[in-house]
Amino acid sequence: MGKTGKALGIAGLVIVVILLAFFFSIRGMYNSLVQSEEGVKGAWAQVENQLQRRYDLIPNYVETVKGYAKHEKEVFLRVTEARAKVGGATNVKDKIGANNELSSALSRLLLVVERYPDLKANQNFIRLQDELAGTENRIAVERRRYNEAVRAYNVKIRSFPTNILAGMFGFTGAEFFKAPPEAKEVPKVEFK
Amino acid sequence: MIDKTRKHVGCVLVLLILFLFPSFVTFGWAEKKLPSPQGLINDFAGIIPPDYEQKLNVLALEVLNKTGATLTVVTFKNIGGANIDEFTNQLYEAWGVGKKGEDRGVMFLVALKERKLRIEVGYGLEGIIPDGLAGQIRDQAMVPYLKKGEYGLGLLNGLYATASIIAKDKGITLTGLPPAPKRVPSRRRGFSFGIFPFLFLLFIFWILARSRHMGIGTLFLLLMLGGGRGGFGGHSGFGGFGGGFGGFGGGMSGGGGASGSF
Repeated sequence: MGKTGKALGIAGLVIVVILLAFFFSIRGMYNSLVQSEEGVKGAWAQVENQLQRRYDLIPNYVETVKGYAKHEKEVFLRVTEARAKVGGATNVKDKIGANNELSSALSRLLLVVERYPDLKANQNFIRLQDELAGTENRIAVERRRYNEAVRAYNVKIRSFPTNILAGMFGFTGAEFFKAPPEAKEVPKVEFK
Repeated sequence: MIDKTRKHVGCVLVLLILFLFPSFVTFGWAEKKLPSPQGLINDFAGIIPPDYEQKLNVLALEVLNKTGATLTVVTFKNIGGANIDEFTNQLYEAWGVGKKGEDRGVMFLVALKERKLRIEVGYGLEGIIPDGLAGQIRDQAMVPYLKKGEYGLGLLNGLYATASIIAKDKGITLTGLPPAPKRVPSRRRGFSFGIFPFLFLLFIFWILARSRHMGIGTLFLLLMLGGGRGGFGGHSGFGGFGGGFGGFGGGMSGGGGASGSF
């Protein structure tokens, strides 16, 4: 009796410990999925703040450039159109696409600006140029952080054994914010 | 006989736990090859004359003590041709300039070979130092001197202009005089606190192992490790400093500020 009772006791304890460990690991995995998903959402909100900031800054910038470079109608039109598209985008994918278009339109405008030395000497313009460059840099920073969050989340969703849980509870992958190659030129404005 | 079954149970438990807690296997964090801060003024390139370094230190300390904002200076011989905006932001984040959540900090970074300058403004100071103003500080207070090779003067001017904005916002005046002669203590060496919880766990594990409850001991240890964040302070950046000297407490920057060439 003594020996079997002890063995049964140990077996029972082991089973309880295994069940507890199982429960805690499932809970841990589920919670970490939730946390990652929230991380992606939070990072995207930061990206959107900065995109909005750029959106708000553009009219002022364009007006200032127009004062010196009246003939560059085509470039202004492209920026204005791209900006309107950004305003109309509703989901993450469309927003990324529209903003990338705006980035390349802006990089064209920045090249145009280079041709007007009077404009570049204007104090008001220098300030706006700094604000725009700063905003582009902020977008780059938040975009990098967002992409890091997306990568961590997507890896979690796809790796074993979290993928089973992700499938069961409907966690789907998030979209990367890939910047077009031309857009990368925007923050690299040379200040003379 | 019973000893043998116990061993088997122990082995099975270990395997099971390794399976259930994959975080144990992949434990560790990616370390970036960035230098650690030596204080508020980090003249890695050796271009700031000693008297200016002293003045910079005094000013930065006064600002830190009176306003809680961290002004830090970093100079490099080169940054390997990296984009100065990205580089500065990552260094800022790695050092954690300013207090976590407050993010009141400014990093002045000079890359000598690239002839680039960046003023990186933390989240908490973006409101009072917008990018346009940072650009103005760069153009008026810094670039003219950096161009002439007067790095100490250029940095001091930039720091002073920034300090004045912060002081005005807080409604205080800066004396510019040395407060109590405070030496910036050098970075603590040897054990950091991060290792103590680990040693403690090992100790418990050792006791449990000695009392022949190997399986339970292992389970306990792995449970603690599998818990991930527990004990190791995983996210506090480099973990080592923070207690060493003030000003670096996990602050973040969103890329505000201005950069330029000199």
